[in-house]
Amino acid sequence: MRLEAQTVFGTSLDPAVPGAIFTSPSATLRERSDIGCILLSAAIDGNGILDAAGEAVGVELPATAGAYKTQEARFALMLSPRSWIVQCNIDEETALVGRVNATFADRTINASRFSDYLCWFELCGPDGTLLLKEGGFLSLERDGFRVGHAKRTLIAKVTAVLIRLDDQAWLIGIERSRARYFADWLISCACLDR
Amino acid sequence: MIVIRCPYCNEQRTEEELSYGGEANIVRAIEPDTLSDTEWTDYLFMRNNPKGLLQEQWCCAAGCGQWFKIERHTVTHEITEVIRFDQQFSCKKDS
Amino acid sequence: MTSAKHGYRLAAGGVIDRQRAVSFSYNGDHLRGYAGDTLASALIANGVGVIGRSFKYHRPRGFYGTGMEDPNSMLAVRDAYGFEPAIRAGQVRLSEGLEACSVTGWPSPEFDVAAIAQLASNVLGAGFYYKTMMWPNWRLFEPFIRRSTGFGRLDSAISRREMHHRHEVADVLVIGGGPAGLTAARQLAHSGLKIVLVDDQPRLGGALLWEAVSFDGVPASEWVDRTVDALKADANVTILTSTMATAAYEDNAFTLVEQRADEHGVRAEHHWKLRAANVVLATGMVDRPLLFADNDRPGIMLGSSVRRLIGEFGVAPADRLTVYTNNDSGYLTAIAARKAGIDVPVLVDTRPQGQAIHAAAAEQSGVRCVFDSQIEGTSGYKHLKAVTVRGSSTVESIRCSGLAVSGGWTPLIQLAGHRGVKPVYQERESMFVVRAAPPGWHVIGGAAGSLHLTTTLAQARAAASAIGSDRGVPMEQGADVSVDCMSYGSISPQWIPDCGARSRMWVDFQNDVKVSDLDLAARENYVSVEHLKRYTTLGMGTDQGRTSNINGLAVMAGLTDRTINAVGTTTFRPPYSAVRMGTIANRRDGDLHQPRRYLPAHAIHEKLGGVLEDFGWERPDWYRSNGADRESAVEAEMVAVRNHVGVFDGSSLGKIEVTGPDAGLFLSRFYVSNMATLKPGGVRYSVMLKEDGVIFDDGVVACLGPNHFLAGPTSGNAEAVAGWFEQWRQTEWPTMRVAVAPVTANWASIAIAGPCARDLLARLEPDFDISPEVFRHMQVREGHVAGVPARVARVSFTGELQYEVSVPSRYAASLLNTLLERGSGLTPRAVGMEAWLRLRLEKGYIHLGSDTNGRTTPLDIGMGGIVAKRKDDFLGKRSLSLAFATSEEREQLVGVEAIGGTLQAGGRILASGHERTPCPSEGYITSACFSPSLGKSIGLALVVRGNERKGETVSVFSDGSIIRCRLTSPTFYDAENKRLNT
Repeated sequence: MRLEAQTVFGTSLDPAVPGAIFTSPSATLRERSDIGCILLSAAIDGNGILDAAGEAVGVELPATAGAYKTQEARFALMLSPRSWIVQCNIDEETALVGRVNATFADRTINASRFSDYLCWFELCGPDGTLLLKEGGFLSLERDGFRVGHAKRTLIAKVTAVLIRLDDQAWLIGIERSRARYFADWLISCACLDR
Repeated sequence: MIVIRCPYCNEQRTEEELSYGGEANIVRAIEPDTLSDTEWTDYLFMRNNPKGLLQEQWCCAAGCGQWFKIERHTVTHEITEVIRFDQQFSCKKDS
Repeated sequence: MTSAKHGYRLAAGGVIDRQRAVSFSYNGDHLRGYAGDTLASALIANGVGVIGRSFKYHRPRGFYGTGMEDPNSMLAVRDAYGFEPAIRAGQVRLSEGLEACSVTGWPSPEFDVAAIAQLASNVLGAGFYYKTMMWPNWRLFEPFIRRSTGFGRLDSAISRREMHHRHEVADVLVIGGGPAGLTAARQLAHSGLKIVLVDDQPRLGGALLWEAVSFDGVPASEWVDRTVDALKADANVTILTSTMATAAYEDNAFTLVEQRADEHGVRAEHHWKLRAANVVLATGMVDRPLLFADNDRPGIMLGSSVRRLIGEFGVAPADRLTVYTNNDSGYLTAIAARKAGIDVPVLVDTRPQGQAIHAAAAEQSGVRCVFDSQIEGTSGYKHLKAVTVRGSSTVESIRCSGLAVSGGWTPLIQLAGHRGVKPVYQERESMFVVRAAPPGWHVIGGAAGSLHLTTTLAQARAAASAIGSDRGVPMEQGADVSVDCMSYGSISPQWIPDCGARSRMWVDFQNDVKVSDLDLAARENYVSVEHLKRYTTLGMGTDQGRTSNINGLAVMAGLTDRTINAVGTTTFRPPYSAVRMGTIANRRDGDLHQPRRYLPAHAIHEKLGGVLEDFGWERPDWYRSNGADRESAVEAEMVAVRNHVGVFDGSSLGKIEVTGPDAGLFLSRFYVSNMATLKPGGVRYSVMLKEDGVIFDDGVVACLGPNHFLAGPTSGNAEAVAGWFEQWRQTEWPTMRVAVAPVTANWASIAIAGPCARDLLARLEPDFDISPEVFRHMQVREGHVAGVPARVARVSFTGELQYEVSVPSRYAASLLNTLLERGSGLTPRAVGMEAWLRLRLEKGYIHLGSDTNGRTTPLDIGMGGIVAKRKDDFLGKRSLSLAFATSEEREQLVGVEAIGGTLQAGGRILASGHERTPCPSEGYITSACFSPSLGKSIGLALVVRGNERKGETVSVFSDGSIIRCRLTSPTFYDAENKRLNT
């Protein structure tokens, strides 16, 4: 027996099915259920363990906030000075968690399953950024939110992990229980003529 | 709108992203049992409420989750100092 | 109703589009205006004189201004997209099919029956209601007073206006698109700085749209067009027209309300939050009234508004217009009126001739000027007929249909006031100005009290240069332009005239506050400006005292022999102009009001007929598939758990992984029980306290392996507890080797409870031993269930054998389905929140927040023994030895059984010896239900000295009746714990 996996928006978990939630000429929102991730939490400071952890997950862990490190199919971003999200293919989650927890048997770094914690959205199109800005300041910096930058902030009263993929594309991680609300909210913004 | 540059993630954060932790430097005794009732209840409840500069704790709650200290003018909201917990140095506030 | 004496459209002039007629209606009359008109200018052009009635005396009132400063012209307005219950006519742009109607005066502003109040005006002075309606009871008078007052009309039709929120950051925010703002923005353009220019009018230019000005010999309109074109050519410049800066906050954050209109009305509203490094305040200034007897008659209007009507809209407010002034700008009005062909019989100047710099120019255009003169009174009830002019030795009556007054200028500095700036009175110009602007601000032009355009432009260029060098950006050098226009000159204020009745001089037109009311306030010692405001209602109207404040406080200064600076102004607070609640709420209603949280198996609950309620998460309260109504379904669900097996979705329960070498020690500092001694595979229940000793949360902690714990706070506190852990880790115990990772939403937790729970779990083919002697109560296992990774805790909330099966959330729906489908023979039922909570009540387990309150300590809920056993410290422990916690009079948790009747949560326990209410109370029922297992009504209660009173009979006031109850142990069901240990 094996339970069937379902994505947040109710389709079965098959990467071949693109999970478009809404599309319009100016913006497209889709669920990226193919993206899996794990959460690394360190019990101590120290660059030494960072390197070892990076080796275990196969991607260098960034030491500064906002940096979004890419290595082949893996991505890592710093959530806090002692925690990182490592993105991977959803099928790799179990293996990655196992590798880290075997490397750090005393749990100075702990790997937690995190693929089901966040619902990843991809928001593309010329109006994508405008839609997000209905929900909050994406950045208060003069040079704004740069491509390749990652940040955790509030959008529409919900904490979101934002990654700017390019000028017109965002990857947005939303806590799973609030993902449907977030999509409803984005759709309500997008349905209006601007 | 209070804006603080978080000394950990180095992003300017609005007050919606921050949470407030009251007056800073209220230290918990290592052995509370050795305190008198008065000393303990002072620790629990007695706080300064100056019209002027106050050191207080804030958390980059919707951002990097880190607690830090600032010195803020309670009338103008001007922030004169931002201090990390792990390194006791301060960052002068910009813009 | 149209008569030549009232306003009319001039044959030429204005920036309106005379090719595009617009039809609209006012109180059912069909009227016409032009594109570019405001509702105010179109109504005046159609000869409407009386636009409303005053608040208290119901005096007829006409247009006093053309914009936001007008205290009189509140109307209800409907366009194709929405409805405004109360808005000034000057703030509405005319659109096709617009419907406007009066909100004051009944049956109409022209004929208002309540105008009889004027006869009583002598007794209706300041404070009348406070003093008079006290006896016998204010409520007796309230309905009538409410009906006869107020501005606004409600309409329940849903607005079709589109609402947006915008959040932006700019380098420079320029507020005001007149000559000052445009010059500053033009200079800063192309510097690379991100500039936002806002103006509340649909067309940029400010006063240049109506004042007679030329730049380098060409009309100002050409200069405006050129400047706007240059701004539009810079991609870094955003121009927001029809946009009001409504409030200014710390760190230069502003709220803006932008209206986007088409020919049918206001189609959309954008509510902006904008933060700027620098701010240029170029909001201009507004004309002030002069005080004289009967200065409120329709036909009397601010001089600047008259010039705007003529210049911007091509409208004359009257065919015969007297001008009354104490400064040089009045002459501009007289000259503009003459140019438009309006008869100006006389200009009355309160000052000596020598001070009037434009007198010759006025006389040249055919205006007779009289000096050292005042207006003593006016006549005409619904429309001005004549004014009486008193000179040093003469009195003459002048027949006229309009009177333009100018009492000096008031800079619009309210936004600076929002930031705590105290305006300073400048004697020479008799105006309040900003001396110390907020950081990064530059106040220029009229807002800075500039009375000449050349000064204004120089200030604008200086502000731009200062910002440029401050930010280190290159800037285009702005060329000096030569300006040809008439200066606003100088002023000699005369606040209270020497002649005329003070009880007929209106200071606040909207709230009917007269000079005599200020006299009364001064006599009764309401001399502080804030008291004056509240006692007389001066400046408390919807116009926020734009025309009345300065006159009011200047009069008070005179009455109390103080300087105007000593009296000071009232505090300016946001918003600068009315903002509709709907604009702020935006689309935040219904499902979008607050973030809703959905269970991972939400769709299955819906399919099962779950009645979803908001418990912080959308959770099924009960299932329609289990019964026709709530009570029968809840009972069926409870019976299923007691007799075979129930399935409950507990996915919202908090899950926090606490890891690292010091993880056990760390947790032991939070919980009343010592979590450090928990062995891998073990689970322990406990409560945690805040430092004051009061219970903050309860739940179980599981030890999944060495240095690896999983804390399970309550659903409602999951995020707060994780934050609490982090705060202590970072701020107090930074050297502890521990990490806190909240992972709640990652895991779906489905509880299976009942005598058949083990059989049902077995059908999921767990890859570990679940036999009762191996997997015992209060233990946890990690492994696989139904082929997927799982954590299974054997814990019980219901008192039955119970397992909590957690799998990654993506499997939640499938797990729930599988449990309900694979349970053939075991007849599993889905169980909702209500049944679940009643089951635990039978067992006597607390439900945090119901059975505990903001005072409850672990000593009050029977955990004193655990506290006493702890040798080491934990948060809040020290407080448990304070007198408040050890007092004999504590409310303690007990069980309650009804001897007859039905218990209800909230019922008060009557103090011993009392059988009737009112009487003292000794506690209350915290939870209650009818127990199907016991066949009676039971509950939990916090009762004074409850522990020692078990067995006692008490009276409980419950929902109107008094019932007898017995206090018992909280555990009603299976006190020996046989069932959960099977």
